[in-house]
Order: sequence, then C-alpha cells, then structure tokens
Amino acid sequence: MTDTRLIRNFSIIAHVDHGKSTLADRLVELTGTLQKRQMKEQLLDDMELERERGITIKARAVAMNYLAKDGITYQLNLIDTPGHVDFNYEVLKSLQACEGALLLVDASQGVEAQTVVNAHLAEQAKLTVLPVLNKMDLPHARPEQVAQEIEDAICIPAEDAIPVSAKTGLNVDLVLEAIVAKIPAPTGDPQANLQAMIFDAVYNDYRGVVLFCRVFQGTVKKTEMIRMMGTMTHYEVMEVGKLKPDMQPVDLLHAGEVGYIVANIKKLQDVVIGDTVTHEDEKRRNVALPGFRQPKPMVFCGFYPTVPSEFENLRKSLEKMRLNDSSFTFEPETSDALGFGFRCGFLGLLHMEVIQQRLEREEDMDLVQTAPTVRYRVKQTNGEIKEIRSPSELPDGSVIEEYQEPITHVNVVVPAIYIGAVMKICTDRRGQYVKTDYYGKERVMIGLRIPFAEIIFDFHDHLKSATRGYGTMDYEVEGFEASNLVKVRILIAGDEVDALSFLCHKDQSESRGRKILKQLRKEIPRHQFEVALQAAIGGKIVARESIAPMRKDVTAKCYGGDISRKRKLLEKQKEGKKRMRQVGSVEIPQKAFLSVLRTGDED
Amino acid sequence: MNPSSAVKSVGSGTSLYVHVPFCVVKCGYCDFNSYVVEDRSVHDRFLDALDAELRATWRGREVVSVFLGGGTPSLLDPDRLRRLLEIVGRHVPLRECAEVSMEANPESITLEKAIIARELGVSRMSMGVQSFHAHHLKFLDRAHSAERAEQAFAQLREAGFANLSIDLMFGIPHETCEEWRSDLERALALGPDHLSCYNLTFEPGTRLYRDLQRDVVSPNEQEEDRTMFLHTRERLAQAGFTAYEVSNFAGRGGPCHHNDHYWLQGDYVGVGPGASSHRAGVRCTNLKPVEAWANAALAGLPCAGSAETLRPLQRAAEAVWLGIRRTSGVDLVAIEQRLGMPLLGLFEPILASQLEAGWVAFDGRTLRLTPDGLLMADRVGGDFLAVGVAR
Repeated sequence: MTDTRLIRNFSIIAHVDHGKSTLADRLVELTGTLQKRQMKEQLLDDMELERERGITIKARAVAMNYLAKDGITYQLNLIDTPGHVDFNYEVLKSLQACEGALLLVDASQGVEAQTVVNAHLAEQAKLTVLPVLNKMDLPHARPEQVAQEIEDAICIPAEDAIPVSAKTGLNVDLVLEAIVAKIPAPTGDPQANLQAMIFDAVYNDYRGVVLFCRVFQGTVKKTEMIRMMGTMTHYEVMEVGKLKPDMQPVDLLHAGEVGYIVANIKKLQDVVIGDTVTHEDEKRRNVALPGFRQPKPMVFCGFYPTVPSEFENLRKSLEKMRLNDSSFTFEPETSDALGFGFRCGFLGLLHMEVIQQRLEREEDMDLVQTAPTVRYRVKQTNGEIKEIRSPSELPDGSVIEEYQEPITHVNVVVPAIYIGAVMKICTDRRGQYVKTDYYGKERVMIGLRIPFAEIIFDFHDHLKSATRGYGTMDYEVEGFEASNLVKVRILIAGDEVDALSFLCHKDQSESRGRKILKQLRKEIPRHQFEVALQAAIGGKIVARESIAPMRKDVTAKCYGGDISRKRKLLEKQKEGKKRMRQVGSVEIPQKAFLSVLRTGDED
Repeated sequence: MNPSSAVKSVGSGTSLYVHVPFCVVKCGYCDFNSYVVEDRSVHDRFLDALDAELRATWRGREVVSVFLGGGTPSLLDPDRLRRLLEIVGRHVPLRECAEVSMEANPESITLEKAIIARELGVSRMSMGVQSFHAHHLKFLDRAHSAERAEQAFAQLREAGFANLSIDLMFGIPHETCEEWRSDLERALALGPDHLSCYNLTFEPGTRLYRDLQRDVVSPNEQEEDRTMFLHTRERLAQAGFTAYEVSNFAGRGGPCHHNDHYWLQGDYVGVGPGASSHRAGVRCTNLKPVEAWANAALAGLPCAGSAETLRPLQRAAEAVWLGIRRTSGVDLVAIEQRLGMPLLGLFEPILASQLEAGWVAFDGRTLRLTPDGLLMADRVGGDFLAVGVAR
C-alpha cells in the first residue's frame, strides 16, 4: 500500500490554448511514465474531436511515479480538466478530486477570462494553487507583467510563479518539485468505510462501464460488492487499477488514490458522474460526498434521425454520450415536421456542437438538429412556474402571467482599447454594464449582464471579430428575470413548422422573424410552385417572403468533356435531396432547420 | 457521300475530338481547359505532342466525325493551322469523313486560315459570336466586336464553307429580352446553317462564378431566362430551323453529328490537354496543363489524368439523361438491346411520376420531353441518374 503521505493529486487549469495538454505530456514524459516513442502528441486529449479542436473536453487521469530530489518516490495523480467555458461543472468535479492545481498562464497572452473563472473554482474547491507561466520560449513572453496580472486578477501571490516552456521542457522539473513540496498530501483513513467519487467514466464494449474514481476513505478491491449511492445500484467489482495512462490492474485502491473500477456495469444510466461509491454491505457503508450540484442544462435543441428507423439507434448513442458526460440530458419528443426525436440539453453552445459532432463521428449518426433555445420559464396564473425547453411546451396564453428568461453574468477580458466595441455588443444584445476591473495598464475585465438567449446567438463570434480575436469571455447563468417574450411561429406554404418556431423578446421578434425567412429563402430550393414563407405572432403575420417557382431547370451545354462532371453533379444533387424533410408539399433541406441560429445580426 | 447514312448507327465507329487549348483572352464565363500563351514555341510543342498522342490512341479506327475545338483553333497562325490539320489528316482521312468541324473566333479567323482549313478537309465551321451588343461582349471578355463577327462570317463563306454555325449566348446579366431578340435577328440575317444558343451558366472556376459568390454580379431572373429560351425556339422554328437538342438548332446544314454522337453515348477519342474520351462505359479525361499532357504524350505514356468506369445501370441511366435532351427522345428499347439489360422495369416508378407531372411522353419505346418537361430537363434527367446510383 502506498503511504498516503507520498501521494499528490493535482489538476492543471488554464485558458484554452495556454498549453495545458503539452505540459501534461511533459510531466508524463519526465516521470518516465511513458517512453517518448510511446507518446502520441498531446496524450490526454484522447478523443479525436478534442485533438482537432484543440480543446480538452473530457477529464482523464494519469498516475505517475516521480523520484524527487529528496530521494523519495512519490505517486503523482494528474487529473485533466476540460478547458472551455461550457464545462465548468466538469472542471469542478475534477478539482474536487484533487488537493492542488497548477494555474497555467500563457506568458505572452496573460490572464484570460477562463483563467479567472477556473482559478475561482479552484479556490472554491479549497485547492492549493501554484501559478505557472508557460510559453517562455516565445520572444514576446512578458513574465513579470503576467505575474502582476495574476496577482491583480486572482489575488494569489505570484512572485513564485514558475516560468516554463512545456514545448521545450524548460523548468518542467521545477514544476514536479513544487507539486511535491507545496501541494498537500491527501488525508483520509484507509481503515474507514469506502467513500469514493466518480469523476469520469467510459464505456467499453467488453468490460462495460469503467469508473474513474478518487478514493477519499477506505479501500476497494476485487470481488467486493459496491453501491452507487445516487442511483442506488450495486455491482461486484471485477478489477481495480491505475491509469498509467492505460489501465493497469492493482490489488486494491485506498484512501487518497485515484484509479479505475470495472464492475461489469452494462446499464449506462446506472452511472452518474459525481456519484459516491461505497460498499453495498450496510455495515460498511459510508455517507455520500457533499458539494456536488447536478449540472443543469441551459441550452436545448432537438436531435432527429435523418431516417426515422434510426430512432432507437439514436437513443442508444445518446445514452452512450450521456454516460461520460453527465451534464448532457435528453428525452424523447415529437415534431410534426421531423417525426420522433429527442430534446437534448447542454451546458452551452460549444457543448452542443461537441455532442452533435461526436454523434456523427463516433456513432455514425445522421442527424437533423433544430435551432437551440435557452431554458425559459413561465409563471402561470395559478402561481406555478413551468419550465420551457421548447416553444411547443408553452401553456395556453390565457394561463400565462409572466414570462421569465435566464440572465447571465458575462466576464470579458480585452485590451482596453476594445472597451467601446464590447459596450456596443452589450447594448445591441439587451445587456447592462456592471463593472470594469483593470489588470495592469492595458487589459480590462468587463462585467456585463446579458440575457442568456443573446449569448447563444453567436455572441462569441461577434466578440472575437469586434476585438480582432483578443477578447475572451466566460459566462455564468445568474438567475431568471421577467421578460416580454413572444412565440414566433414560422409557416411554410401555410403549414406551421414547429421545429422552426422560437421564443424571443418582443422587441426583436419582427426583425428576427424577417431574418429567418430571408435565410429560409436561401436554403429552400425552388419548387414547381410558389412557396410562401411567413412569420406569425399569435394570429398576426409579421413578416413574409416567397420562393419563386422553378421555371427553368435545364443545363445549356453538355458535351463530351462535360459528361462525367455534369453527371456527377446531378447525382450529388439527387443524393442531397434524399436528405430533405417533407413538410406538406414542401421539401426542406436539413440545413434550414439551423437557420434560426444564423440570424445574429450579420446584415 | 451521304453524311446522315455514315453516322446512323450508334456503337459502330468512333468520333475524334482534338482540343486546341489556346485563347487570346480567358473569357469570364468559360470553364474549358484553355490558356493564354504568348510563347509560340508552346504551340509547336503542342502540335508535336498531339501527333504522338494520336499515334498512340487512334490506331486506325473507323471514324464517325471529327471536331477541332478549344480553346480557339483559329488562333493558330496559318502555318501551324496547316500543320495541325496535316497531323490529324495523317491519322484520320479527313476528306473522306462525313463531318469535320472546327471552332473559330472572330478575332483570329482570317480568309487565309479559312481557305487552309477548307483545303485540308474541314467541312464545317462553328464560330463563337455570343452577342452583337458591345457592352455584353465586354462583360463576357470577348476580344472582338459585333462588326468583326459579321465580317468573319462573310470571310468563311468566301472561303467556300457551306456549313456554318454560330454560337450565341443569352441570359447575360442585365441583358433584356429585347436585346436578345435583336441578337437572334442579326444572327439570322447572316444566314447561318446551324445555330447554338446557350443560356449563360455560372460555372465553378470561372471569373463570373467568383463574381457571383462575392455578389459582384447577380444572375438574371429565371423568368426572363425562360422567356428568352422559349422565344429562341419559337423564332428559330419560324426561320426554318429544327430544334434537335436543348440548345442546338439545325438549318440547311443539318444537326452537328459529332455532338449527336456524344448524346447517343457513342465512343470517342479526345486528344489534347484535358480532352475527354469514352469507350463502352469507361470515361477518362486527359491531364489538363499543356506541359504535363505534352510530357506524357511525348514520352509515350498515357495522357489520362482521371478515369471512371460506369456500372451497367449507371450507364443506362446516363444514356437516358444524355439522350432525353434530344428532341427525338431516347429509344429505351434500343438502349436495352445495346447494353443487354432490362431497363423498363427499373425505370417504371420514375417514369410513372414524370408522366403524371406531364414532363415526358412515352410510347412504349421512345421517351421524349414534353414542352413543359424540356424546361425541367435537368430534373427529369437527374431522376434517372438517381436510379443509376441507387444500389
């Protein structure tokens, strides 16, 4: 059994692109956990999508043995955290499995919005935070100023910040020494009853669900019966082990350690991330760990299979997604236009995009996705509050006393010269200015209150373009406020298309309705007849467009050299047509269902 | 020799296409493989390579028709034009061939070149005029005036060509129906023996396509294109022309057999950079850059840059798609026999829906587009192609 005093559990927290995965790789390499040739670049980002987008979405862990300068070998458990704005809950889970965190900041970019938020999360989890300045190999690294920014923004002393280059390996050994010297060893009694937290899980076709756990109290070993307290299910342990980073079985996991448990768990819904694992035997049970909030999805959209017969397969795939992503929710819904599908909840827009792409890539699903909406609320005349995740859930107008919409607190970090540009975006989106904090002379953090519905409409893209890429943001939903909302219905050739209808603020309803119709006009191909597009609020038509009928569809030229190319083009068009949805007599391309998304304010 | 008897049966004989990839300017609408090359030594290298490719590919086949296209074949100077025709003539007996067409442009054709072409066996000239309106010619990047086009036409006649065709274009952005009507009249006044009238399309890779993407130009209203298209058919019928394909009209000179051969899915050999060939369901296209193609040809290597082999059903579907654009329609029974596979059953559902839409007429053997269907030829043809790609 490893002496608990020789264990260090830590995370790395950073803004996206500040080099977290690269540093993790160097630590793994330097401790000899893996030989260099065994390492794929950026080891911890093991989902294809993560690598491609350069963001870490799923938490993963790796155990390293480190022979420190004091001659003692320590067990270092690195728990990787996701680095994007939508994944704060997952970051928190991972942090709570640790005693310390490396706060990694790019020495040329400086403190960014997520740096601040992640650092606050680490404080909330009562972790020891060690500042590390990365990318010192870059010519414009400015370690002194960035250290000052850390002190200003996060209020932790930064004179000891370790300047490193994860890329070249500079000073990475000092980081290892600091982990040993400054991060406290875990406490916990191996003799106590088992108390472990599930911070991640993956599904393996042969072994079922593999749990990744931090053991806080007691021990767990093969053949013991364990109980998951949240889901109230029990299983027999088949194997326990450590992640090095591939799974290596050990005899037992004890208090303070991080590892995996295989228990032949086939039912995906039995595993909830953040749940507490204890022994099934009542005499050996411990209590559930406090402090876990179930993540509440804030953005919703519908996923529909392209082919109706794929509905059950889609359900299976969604279950798989949910397994290692507890913040993702789904339940069946039906749409007149799209048939049977699922209403899915996400933490944010990126989260939605990631899930959608994972479904398409890893699960090979062909999906129609409807435009996202936030979680609204309706206060009914009987005092009851009803949550609205889809415009179709709205109760009858006569029982609605008040509409409420979620409001976010948004932190934007930008060079000071862009304050004006940020203010303009804020005003355009029904936002309110809250405060400005200066970090050093040139950078500011602007606090804003903006309705969440405004954030999900490409706010991030607009911020990036208005600040030439310098602006970074983070947001948190603060609560709900009364708002003057209306439901805008979209009618195509006289038929209401429920999948396109949406809720929005009354002041914006007409212009947004108009923009959607314009977008639809571009996306829906001509038919043999004129197709009327209308936006309506209640019974009143507030905008209309029409798609002129197809009057001529004949290629002028087709000669010897054109035959292959033109034939392939037509064959491809025909393939595309198969993927259209029929609403009444109108064929609507799948892309059109996302048009509500692309109506920010580009024109 | 009677030209129509020489090209009657499909499947027998091969047509030859010769691609001359040079132009004075690259027109904004043109997506053909052509280059503006100042250096005349490239023309010589082209001719050398052409000789080599013909030697390797033609191999004394039975010739149906020859078409010298481009690019602009008339751009070659008189000596090189002579050499081009001598080279082709070495492999294919041009004078005995029922139809030898050549493309010419007003800015480069001369009486001298026309006489050379006539002497060496070219029997039919097709001249790209496109428009008689200066502002449209400019918009299209054409390198000639309306007057020069008329003069060039007269020179071709003077050289003794009895079969002259004119290419015109309608649906040019901002073109009015009135302008198009007057273009047609001015073309008819010249007394051509064949007319091709093309609705402008925005082809990927062209300057116009890029302009369209950047919203610098916008296409005409479909309704106007339709009006011009229908007017063309009406007016040319009145003038005694037979519309034998979507964009082609036969006068005294009859149809262009070479193009008909393409549409009847006949075999053809294409030589020159980027030229396409077809033989029994295998379609291939030569390397496009002049140098790459010439290097291959001169080294005695195959010049093809890409190739595809059609599956039998795909080939049948293609036959319908190509053939249905012809006014005389497609003989489904003949295709069944030629390809040795039953088709009517496979096409039945698609046929039924198109009959119901009123786009096609079918007499149990021949499938034809109705006047409504003609305007939807891509839709109709596309439906058949879809049957070909389905497993």
